[in-house]
Amino acid sequence: MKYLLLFSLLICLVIFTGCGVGYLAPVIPPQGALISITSAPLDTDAENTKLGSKTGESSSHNILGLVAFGDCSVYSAARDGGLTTVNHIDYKYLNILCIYQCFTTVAYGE
Amino acid sequence: MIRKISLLLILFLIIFLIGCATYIAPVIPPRAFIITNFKAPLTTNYNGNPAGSNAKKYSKSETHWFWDCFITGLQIGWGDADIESIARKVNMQEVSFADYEFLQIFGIYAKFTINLYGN
Amino acid sequence: MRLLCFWTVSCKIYKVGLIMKKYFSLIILGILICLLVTGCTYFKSPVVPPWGGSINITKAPVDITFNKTKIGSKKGESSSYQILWLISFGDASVYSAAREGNMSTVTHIDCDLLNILGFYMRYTTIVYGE
Repeated sequence: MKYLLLFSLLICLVIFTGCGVGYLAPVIPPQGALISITSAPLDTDAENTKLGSKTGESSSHNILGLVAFGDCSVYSAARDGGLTTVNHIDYKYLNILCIYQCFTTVAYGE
Repeated sequence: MIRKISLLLILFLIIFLIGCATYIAPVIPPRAFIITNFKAPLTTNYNGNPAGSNAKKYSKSETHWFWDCFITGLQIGWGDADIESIARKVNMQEVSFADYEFLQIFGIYAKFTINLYGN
Repeated sequence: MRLLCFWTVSCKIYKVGLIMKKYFSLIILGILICLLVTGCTYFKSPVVPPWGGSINITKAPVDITFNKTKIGSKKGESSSYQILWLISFGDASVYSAAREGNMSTVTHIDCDLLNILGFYMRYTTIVYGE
């Protein structure tokens, strides 16, 4: 019983400190507390933006709010898609019960 | 036993609540308690910005953060992560875009690196 | 059975509460000390590296939109200050920094963040241009 108490307090700590759950981006759609599978823009300046024919992705991962690793930079997304110019960027966010979170940058260009 | 656990929890709470190195950037992926190491976008405004083989020059600079939680309790941040000094290192004439890398270990040490790409 | 589990958990929470009451002043002192050296930032800027609550000597970008941006040859600075969390004054605008550097066009902006034990804080806007 005391381990259950300890574990639930740990989960509360993870949720309420904002250190292990949640992210920041220019646009955040309404999120589900348990499961989130959403996409949204990162580049919010859409003047004369041609999307381009190529796309590339790069991701960072978070496990249980304890360990976070990965590379979701635009450079890696551009390299992944073989892009030489970047016209626009979006992102994808996946959250499964706060056990696994994945933040993916998607780059569009030529 | 419960006293030891509760004291440990309080210590844990204080260290992890206060020791989380706070920083501001346009995009912050989910962070973690024990170890956090990721790269994320800094520039979010693109319109044909050169990337890949079109961005020939690369440079970076770091800032560090350390929390001495056991002896003095001081939090110290130092380093130059301004674009001008990073660009001057490799004589970059045109800046195309920037990413950043964030490393944090146990809420005690953190490193914030800006990666700059251009020509 | 459920009532028994509920009662056991309540007893244990009560015991934790008693312990916390015993160490109450120590906990409050600890929290106060932590808040004094906390990593909270009292200002906002587009990019702020991990903030040293006690001592912070860092530089960071302000302008993060680039379009083949050339860093100009001229440089100007302007600062805003905060003393003892009580008084803040100064002019950290781009206009005064550009005027100080005698430039007519601004191509890029960085900032310099200085914090000495929370007693003296300075935010300096650094502009580059021609």
